[in-house]
Amino acid sequence: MRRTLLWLEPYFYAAPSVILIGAIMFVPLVIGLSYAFHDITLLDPLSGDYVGLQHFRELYADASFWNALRNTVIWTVSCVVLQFGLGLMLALLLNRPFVGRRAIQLCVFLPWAVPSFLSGLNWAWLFNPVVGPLPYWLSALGVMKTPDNLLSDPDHALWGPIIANVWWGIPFFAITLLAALQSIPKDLYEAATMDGANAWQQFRRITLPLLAPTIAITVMLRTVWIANFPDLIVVMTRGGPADSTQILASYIFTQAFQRLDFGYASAVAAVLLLLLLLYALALLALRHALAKRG
Amino acid sequence: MAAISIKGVCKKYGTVSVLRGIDLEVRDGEFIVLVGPSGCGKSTLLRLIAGLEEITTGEIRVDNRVINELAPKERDLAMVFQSYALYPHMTVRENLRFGLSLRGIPRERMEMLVQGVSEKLGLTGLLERKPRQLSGGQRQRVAMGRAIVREPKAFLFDEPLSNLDARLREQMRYEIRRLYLELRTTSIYVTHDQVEAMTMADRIVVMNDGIAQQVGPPQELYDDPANLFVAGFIGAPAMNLLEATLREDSGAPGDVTVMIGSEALAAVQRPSSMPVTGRVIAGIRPERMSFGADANGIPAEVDLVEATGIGMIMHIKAGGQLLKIYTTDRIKFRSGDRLAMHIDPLDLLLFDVDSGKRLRPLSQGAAHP
Amino acid sequence: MKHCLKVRLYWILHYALLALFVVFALFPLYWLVKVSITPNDLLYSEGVRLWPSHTTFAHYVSVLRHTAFPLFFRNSVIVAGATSVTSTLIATAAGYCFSRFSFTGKFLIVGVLMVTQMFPLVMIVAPIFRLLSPLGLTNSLTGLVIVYTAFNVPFATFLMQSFFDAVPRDLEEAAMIDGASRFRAFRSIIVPLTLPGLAATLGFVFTAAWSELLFALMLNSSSDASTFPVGLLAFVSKFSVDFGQMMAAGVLALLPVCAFFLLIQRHLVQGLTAGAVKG
Ligand SMILES: Nc1ncnc2c1ncn2[C@@H]1O[C@H](COP(=O)(O)OP(=O)(O)O)[C@@H](O)[C@H]1O
Ligand SMILES: [Mg+2]
Repeated sequence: MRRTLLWLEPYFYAAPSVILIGAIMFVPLVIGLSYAFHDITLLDPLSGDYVGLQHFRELYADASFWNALRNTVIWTVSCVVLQFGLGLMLALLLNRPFVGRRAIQLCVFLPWAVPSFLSGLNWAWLFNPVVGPLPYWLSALGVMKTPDNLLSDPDHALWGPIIANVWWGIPFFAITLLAALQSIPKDLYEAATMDGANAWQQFRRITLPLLAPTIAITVMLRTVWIANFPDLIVVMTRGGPADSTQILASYIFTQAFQRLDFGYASAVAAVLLLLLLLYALALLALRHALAKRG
Repeated sequence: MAAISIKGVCKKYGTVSVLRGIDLEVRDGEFIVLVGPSGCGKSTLLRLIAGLEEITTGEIRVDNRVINELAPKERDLAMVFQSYALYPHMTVRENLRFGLSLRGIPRERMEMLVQGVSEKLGLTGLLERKPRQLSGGQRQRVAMGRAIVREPKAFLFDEPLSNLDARLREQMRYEIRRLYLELRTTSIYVTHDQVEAMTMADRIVVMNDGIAQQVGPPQELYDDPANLFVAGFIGAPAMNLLEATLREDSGAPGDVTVMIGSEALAAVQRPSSMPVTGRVIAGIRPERMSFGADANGIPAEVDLVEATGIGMIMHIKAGGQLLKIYTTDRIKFRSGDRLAMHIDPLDLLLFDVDSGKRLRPLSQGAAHP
Repeated sequence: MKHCLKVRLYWILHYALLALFVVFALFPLYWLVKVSITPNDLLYSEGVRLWPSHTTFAHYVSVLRHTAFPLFFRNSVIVAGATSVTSTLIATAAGYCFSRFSFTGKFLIVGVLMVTQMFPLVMIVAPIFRLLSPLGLTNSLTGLVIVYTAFNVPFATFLMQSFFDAVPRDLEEAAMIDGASRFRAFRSIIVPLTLPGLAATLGFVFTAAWSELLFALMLNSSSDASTFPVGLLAFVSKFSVDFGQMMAAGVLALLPVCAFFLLIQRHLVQGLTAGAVKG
């Protein structure tokens, strides 16, 4: 009797989370995948038929989709590269003790706490020539000809959400990398100094290799996460002007929320999911190959 | 107080057997020490008794009641951990009171018990401190106090002194023994340190590989080890274990000569089961060997001399093998000197090469003096 | 001497770079606060001045008096508060389980929780709407709490697990031998020792729930059940000229999460690391 109870005990504790996540995340995922093959339009009582691959054929011919796909790549790569680069730099700067470190750390990590929608709005306002200073400064610097709103320029509007996202995401990378940096034993550096390694060699030979696992996992997760993250675009530009800032995630959202075409939205989502899975698998394969070679 | 009886206890983690059939009768009021190298399953056995792990097969009884299925809190045992496991957010007083309050003991009585124990252990001035404000020795005392205050059926100790420095360890060893002699509560004490085992135990259980190798009073284990493992584990410096061969003695028919290399070590009584190959392990305690500069004896050469203060450990070479001699004489030998050893045949123990079992002489059934 | 100069130069560069980071991090927030206290008539005339010639709290007063923001604020507090409490409770149970037990299927469950961290959540917007709608859980705060709890439990679980892992097992074993049941040992020993961790988890989840926009927008279209982000967004699209009021509302939205940030910032490193490495 006691044995059975003891055996069941862990399942009892894990059950609430498993049930909840199963019901609210996995069941909808499966349903969502099935929507991709059905004609599901909200408020349309005639919809609901099985349509096979029709959504995917539409999608193939949909110029907006291809445009959103291209934007997704630009958006994801620029955000990850900038967030990671600046985050690593910040982590390195914060990794050695100096006067005022705690206060500075508090300031530079603060954007992490700002809700994403507010970060989007805030940057939209900063780019707005009516209340924001950025257009004037940019034109004074000669980056822009006239103090216009960057977000209404179809050629460069995507940089608005990218900058907002970089601002918001640097702390994440800085914090994770800082934690990893601080777990590197100090005596490794002392030994390297005794061996005559200079600062750059120490970085190349000790810091980077020991940071590599953290870098790999955070970059992979963040890439997936950023590709899936439509909030800033929805808030700042709604995909406009003229779809120039539409990424797949915001396109899915627009299809579902504004056109209520859940079937088509799910088809796009399924493609996005597939692409991200392929990306993750490719990374894992690459890591496997590198591990074999090393 | 209680007698603890352990019968055929096995413990597996998945497919790995950690305990492989332990039998042990702990008498009421006895102080038993489990000793063995690290990883041999001592803590596991203790945790099975405490109820922190499930027994795979076998049974454990406390006062003749099977406790296999009881939760730890129903067993009324107390345990002192190596890490002390003091509750860091509670003061010393609250640490001592915790177990009492769980048993619903009235407040006045609780205060009285805490007071009594803290006087006994010299904790009176520390009662309002948190564990992190205490030294190692003080923490150790609080851990003891927490066990004693509940007046449990038995104490379980898991290497309680390992985190102390050598001096404090010696002092706490003495205090624990004193306390035991005062309380006479059944105790099972785990350690990997054979000195602790020898000094504290009424009886020692030597464990290795999940098996109890030998159970007995300290002196018996020292004088009369049942196998190679016990012989090598008990005693410091460790017993010399030499590869030897037995040669039929032409002079006395009941005797055999123990040879190391080409040197005759001693003539001993023929063992009851003679190994076919004649090869054995011969054991001799370093402190039971004598030596001199004279010519009659086994020739040997001094390799290295270590001074320990009270005495000397001499590493010597004889018959192509290295061995140690321990002596408290002030000697003047140096590396490279030659000497002659003398061995009393009665001090020589023989072991089977394959099984490690002790080979006893035919006529001698009982313990060696 | 030369070495000395190099060290000096290094530190000048070090502080200069940090100063840039600090300005980049704080300037947008500074501007938000600045505009929110600039009187309307100065907004256009003083353009890019760093500090207005005089300040006013009129925008805050009108946001609190004449808009639905107090309602949105209340809704958000309820949703974020309830989500953080339920998520932390569920995650505490699961985190304790992962930290203290090994059992068949553990690997699978942990794997499932990790996979959820890679989900495109937009993908399940539509199905969740269709699932909750017949249950009357759209346009309801309860519905949002359920959905947010599910989203936040995986991360909160890994976080709590890392806090439990830091408490030695010996302690609760000692308590159980002292006569405590597992639950009593958990309550009297583990909980007091992981209290800062519990607070951090509450803070993380609160912040996440407070900030969520998409599901709030999709699931709750009636303004009675709108949360702060949705309300602010609607306000922006409707009255996109009243910048003072919008930014005052923005500052109000920022206050609770900043309070939590100050509370949990010491655990940020451990928290985000647990999230990044385990899921
Ligand atoms: N929970 C466990 N799971 C798997 N193996 C364990 C576990 N606990 C202990 N062991 C193994 O059991 C053996 C005995 O451990 P232990 O009883 O702690 O040894 P001792 O206390 O004698 O040093 C060790 O080899 C250890 O690795
Ligand atoms: Mg042990």
